[in-house]
Amino acid sequence: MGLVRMSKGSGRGPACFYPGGFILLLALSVCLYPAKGRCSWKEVDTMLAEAYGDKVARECADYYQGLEIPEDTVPSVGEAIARLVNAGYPAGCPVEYLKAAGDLSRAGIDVSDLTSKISEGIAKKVSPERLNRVLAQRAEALQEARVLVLSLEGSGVEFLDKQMAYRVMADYLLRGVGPDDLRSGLIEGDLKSFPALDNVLR
Amino acid sequence: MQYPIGAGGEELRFMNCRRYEKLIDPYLSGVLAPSDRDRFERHLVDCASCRESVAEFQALDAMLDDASHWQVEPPPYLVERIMANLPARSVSRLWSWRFLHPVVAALSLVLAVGLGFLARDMLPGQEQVVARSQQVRIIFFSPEASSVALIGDFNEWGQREVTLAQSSDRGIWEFSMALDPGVYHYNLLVDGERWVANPKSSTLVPDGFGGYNSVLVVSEKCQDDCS
Repeated sequence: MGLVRMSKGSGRGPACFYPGGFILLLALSVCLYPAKGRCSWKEVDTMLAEAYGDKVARECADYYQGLEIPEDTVPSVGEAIARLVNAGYPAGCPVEYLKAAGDLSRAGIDVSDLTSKISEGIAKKVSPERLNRVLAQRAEALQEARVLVLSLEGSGVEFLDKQMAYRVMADYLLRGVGPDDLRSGLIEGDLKSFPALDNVLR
Repeated sequence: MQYPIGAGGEELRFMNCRRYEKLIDPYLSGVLAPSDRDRFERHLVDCASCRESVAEFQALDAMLDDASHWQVEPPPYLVERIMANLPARSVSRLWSWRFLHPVVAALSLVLAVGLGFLARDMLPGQEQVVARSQQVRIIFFSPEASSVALIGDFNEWGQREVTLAQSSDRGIWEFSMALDPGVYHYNLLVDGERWVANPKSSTLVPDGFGGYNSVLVVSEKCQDDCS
């Protein structure tokens, strides 16, 4: 009897399942919405195809597809590529950038450092070859810095923010400081030669 | 106090009967103690009034037992009469649940979509960064410069505007701005053509392009001066 009344839309019936329906709608809306920036790869793809042709776009897609670049970083990666395209850099630059960014992402290193380097290179009007070389050097230094930071953590050194530590370490490595000097300075607490490191230590 | 049965006046008998009346129902139900049942039955022998009461109770019990088997059909006009006498409904049909249901469903959909947007930004993995920006002051001395611009990671090397307080006095160029914790490379662009690192910066690194960058590390530790 009660079921018949529910199906006829009496006052009590729908109210019984209404909260459940609301929760279902909420869950659906969360699941169905695209996350921030997820569609930006498509925009990057279109931009590359328009600027350099389908072949380059496909090559770049091979680099960025499946990468674990955080979704909120994708728009800035897209912006960096757009800047390269708009500044007239050849196809090799976005390819090199995406290749390096992919390697960094897989290692859990923030790609914003490379993105900034592209903006800097464009502002300083450097040649594509030089920009590519700097991007590769920077990516390599960041990877080396990561290994150093992780090993120092194992030795009891505590960092405030690991991403910041990677950047500062990479800066010193690119300045020619040896990893052993950095390691001993940090373990012994002698940071007179590395003042920037003091601000990233806990 | 025990009253002698059949050995007193009318008043005494009446008092006895009032006591025994309470025992009729337990007696008929068979729950009286044997001694009480014997006393009650002796009273019935002498008391016509109580015998009559017991007989009435027995007849009533029989009638109730019989009534449990009755099949009573309500008269066909009963429902109509009840419905006709009910007060008129005060809520109009427009606002009844039947008509309101689609509206509420649509509103809940809109609300769910809105909450979806809100929840999307709060999902794990998209952690909201709590800005703990700090005031940064950069001082550069260049008496011969006619213009000095501060350009670096914080403004994407001139691609983005940042709120920057700037003043110059007798060749001392001073910039101040609020920055979130992070590592920032920067240069000073003198007279729109010369990229210069700040010599007062504690850390200088090669920019890879033939020059140097100043490094600014903003963290929780440099509360007073990040320059």
